[in-house]
Amino acid sequence: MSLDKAFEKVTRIFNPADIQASKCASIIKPKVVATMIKKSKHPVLITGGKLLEDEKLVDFVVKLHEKTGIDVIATGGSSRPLIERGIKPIATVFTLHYITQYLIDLNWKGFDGKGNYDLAVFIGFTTPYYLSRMLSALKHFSRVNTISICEYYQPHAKFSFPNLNEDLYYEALNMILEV
Amino acid sequence: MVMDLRDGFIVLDEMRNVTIRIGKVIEEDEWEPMGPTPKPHILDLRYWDQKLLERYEPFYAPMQDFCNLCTMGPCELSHNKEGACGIDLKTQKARLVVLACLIGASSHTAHARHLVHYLVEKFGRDHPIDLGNNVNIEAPNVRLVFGIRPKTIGDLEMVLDYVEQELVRVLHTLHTGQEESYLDYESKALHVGMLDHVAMEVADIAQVAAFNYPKGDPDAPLVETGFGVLDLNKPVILIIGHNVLPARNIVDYLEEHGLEDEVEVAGLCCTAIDTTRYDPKAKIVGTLSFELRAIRSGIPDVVVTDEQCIRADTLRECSKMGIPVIATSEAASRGLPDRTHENPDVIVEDLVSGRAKGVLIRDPDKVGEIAVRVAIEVRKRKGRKEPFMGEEELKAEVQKCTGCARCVFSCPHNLRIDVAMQHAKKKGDFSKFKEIEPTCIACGRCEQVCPKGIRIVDVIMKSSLDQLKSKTGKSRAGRGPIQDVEIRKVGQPIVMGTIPGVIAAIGCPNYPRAREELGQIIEEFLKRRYIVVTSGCHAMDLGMYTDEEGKSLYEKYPGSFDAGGLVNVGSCVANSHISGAVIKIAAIFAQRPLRGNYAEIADYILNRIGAVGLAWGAYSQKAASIATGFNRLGVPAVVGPHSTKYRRAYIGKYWKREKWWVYDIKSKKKIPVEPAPDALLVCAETKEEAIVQLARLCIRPADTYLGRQIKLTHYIELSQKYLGCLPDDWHLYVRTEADLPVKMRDQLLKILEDEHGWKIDWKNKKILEGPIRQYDAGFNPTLVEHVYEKYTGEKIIR
Repeated sequence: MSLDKAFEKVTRIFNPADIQASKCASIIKPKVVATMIKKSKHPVLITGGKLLEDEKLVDFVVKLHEKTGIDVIATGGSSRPLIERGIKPIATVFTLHYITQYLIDLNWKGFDGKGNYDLAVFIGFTTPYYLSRMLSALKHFSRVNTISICEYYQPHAKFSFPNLNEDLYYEALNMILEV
Repeated sequence: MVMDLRDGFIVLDEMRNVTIRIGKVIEEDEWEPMGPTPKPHILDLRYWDQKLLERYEPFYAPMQDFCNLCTMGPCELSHNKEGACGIDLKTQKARLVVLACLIGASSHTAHARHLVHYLVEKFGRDHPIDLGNNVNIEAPNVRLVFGIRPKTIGDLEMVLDYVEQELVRVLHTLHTGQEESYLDYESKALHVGMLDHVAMEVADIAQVAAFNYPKGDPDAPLVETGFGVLDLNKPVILIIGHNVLPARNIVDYLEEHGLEDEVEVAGLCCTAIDTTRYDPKAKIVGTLSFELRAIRSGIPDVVVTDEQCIRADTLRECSKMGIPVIATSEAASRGLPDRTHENPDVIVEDLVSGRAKGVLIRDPDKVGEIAVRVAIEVRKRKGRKEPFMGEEELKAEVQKCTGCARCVFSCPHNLRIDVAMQHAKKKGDFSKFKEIEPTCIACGRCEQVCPKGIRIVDVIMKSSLDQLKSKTGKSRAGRGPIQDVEIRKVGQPIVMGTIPGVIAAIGCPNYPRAREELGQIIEEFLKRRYIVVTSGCHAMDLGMYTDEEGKSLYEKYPGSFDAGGLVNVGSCVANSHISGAVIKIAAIFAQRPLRGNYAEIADYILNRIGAVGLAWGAYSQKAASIATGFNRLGVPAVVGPHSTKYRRAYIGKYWKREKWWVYDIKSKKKIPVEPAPDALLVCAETKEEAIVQLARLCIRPADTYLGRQIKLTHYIELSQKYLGCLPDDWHLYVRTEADLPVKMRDQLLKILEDEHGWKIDWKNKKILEGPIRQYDAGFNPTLVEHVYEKYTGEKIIR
């Protein structure tokens, strides 16, 4: 299957039982992810523990950071491989749970003191169900735009990649970098 | 004249038709003045909850955005909309959290009631609660909440009366159209959690006292643990659940008939732990995630179920394997005929012949004979089968796979079963199943959706059979309470911080990754000489975590409640000994009165005792309730990622400075403090993250500088080891240069100056300006007004 077709196909939720009555995430294409990061005033990339075991994801995050300057909040221990590659995340010790709680608070000034973030991009979570719950919290209780660029479709994000096999997934990530 | 008051009637002769009825006579010597909140009702500790909830803001991650509990609905509540009754999404989630806690606490309470009822019948109400010479504070939770010192098993009945009443009252509040604030539902959840610890304590001290379990013995026997420990040459009785009564009767029957060496008694889940407390020769097969493994292996000759964590398809699964089932609990009667009062000979014959797939026997005293006789007869009649399936069947099953990946999407862990299947199908290599096995919880959801009907669990297990058989180790039998003398020894170093913390590994086996990760987390803290306590499924899995020589952590670390000790307190209900231990620190070391004095003790614990729970695989409602009870007591918990499905966490915001304050009894001032701990319940994604969070959440405002220095050293070292850098927030916990790790002092002072703008006197290497507050050796923090007033004699103008 080509990447284009994968993004047009009706996709499945990572767990068929994770159903909500309200709207599910719109499928987002890699080029649009890049555009949204570029147009956003205060975006942040939030990384998860899968970076500890997937060098390609680390590569992607390093390149995206270098190319766009997007700040990285590293959770799940993902800071270690990033720091080894010369990236300095703006936060390392707070878990995704903390970060989500902060994002929900309109009065949070962010880790850089510039105010809450308007776009949160998520990548590299070992457990899709954990990210799903956090996206659900953000959907219902925050104003933050959320994009999941993980390998599973995340219904509670505002925008999400569809389910992609390994090859197509890395191809999609590369396309973000090419824009 | 001394009047001897007893239960009964007094009839006054001179006054016609006047009878005075005397109910329960409570003989309480004046062991301690009664505190402000004995037998608290729902609202009595709301003021304490509000203190907690102000700091630790509830966080909601909805599983659904609708409510369908009444017929005005279903109502769509997304984006915090209100439903037909007026409830909004947050409050509805809080309501569901209360419900989950009620299910959990009711399970323990019903369990406790069953035990106490049985023990009163067997041993009488006057049977003493004797937990050994070294345990004088026998029931810290009961003393703290209910306000009595229970001396006999009969005394526990009134404690349960109170708990049951409160649980019903809270359940009533969940009716449509009541609470308007999620904070009020959270207060109720905290109340239920507190009651749960009381009920658990009742259950465990009753069984310890009556069945002569180990009584706080650090050298409780080591017991064989793991899938591979069963002697397959003997008939095997597999007992599953949480209530020891049927299992105890089986052990007694075997002993009475000289059969103890002829039959294997093995358990799954907490019944396994409690059976080994009664008889260390019994064996632990594993946790709930081993239930389908054990049944599908065909090894058991009979399965006995009691209550709580047992699969709801146990009878169906056993029937497929020709294994008879004996259900023993009202909570799980499995559609089986009640044959409690029938002739055992007939029941045994029906089960052995297969005429009956199972029976319900409600009297635990009758289970022993039937279970043992059935196991022996079944073993005689059945031949040896290959576990799970034969080699040819295995190959044939794999060939059916089309790679549709429905199994992956239904798997709670999204395990790539499709990849393992296709690899085996194309290359004949089954090794990828071995990689999946340690994470697989054997729930069977994959089989429900497979369009080809592949027996996926059997395929995984058959492919990993050598791995499963090699799973052997030793656990220490649950020792029950922590001794008062142990508390006397470690109370001061824990409160001062020189023992850096108490890590409580408790809960279920729904781990995010392989089981081994739990052992890796715990070993990190044992090596660093934290005190580690454990219970339930975590305690069992630690018994299977072995080194190259086959030694488990229980064999490598002492069982004492001391630095570097690994303490297995017992089953689920023994979690009350962990909350009991922190309560006892306040009572024994700090001499704080316990009786009906909940808020003062919880406040003491929150500010001073660096204890943190780890529920790495929590799945059940009981785990929700237990954790919430710990939270009300001021003990935070780190949970695994599945626990986000409980929907609620308590997470503070370090940057909201106005929320982090205490009253200092010494200086008589309200002063800002460091955000320690900054969460009461928070999830970690990976073991690396969990380790760092556990060390972080052990920090407390009342640490001495030496204690803070030790805690910061571990926190910083662990962050550097697992996160690759200094933690973001270490500077928040620095009050004086003496707090800093000695080896890093200069480097950290420089960072404080350069990155945080602190003023440093470099000549004397002293911090001049910067910390949230100055260190004061006499600092005496409290959040509670009446505690402040009690110890200062001054009134706070509210």
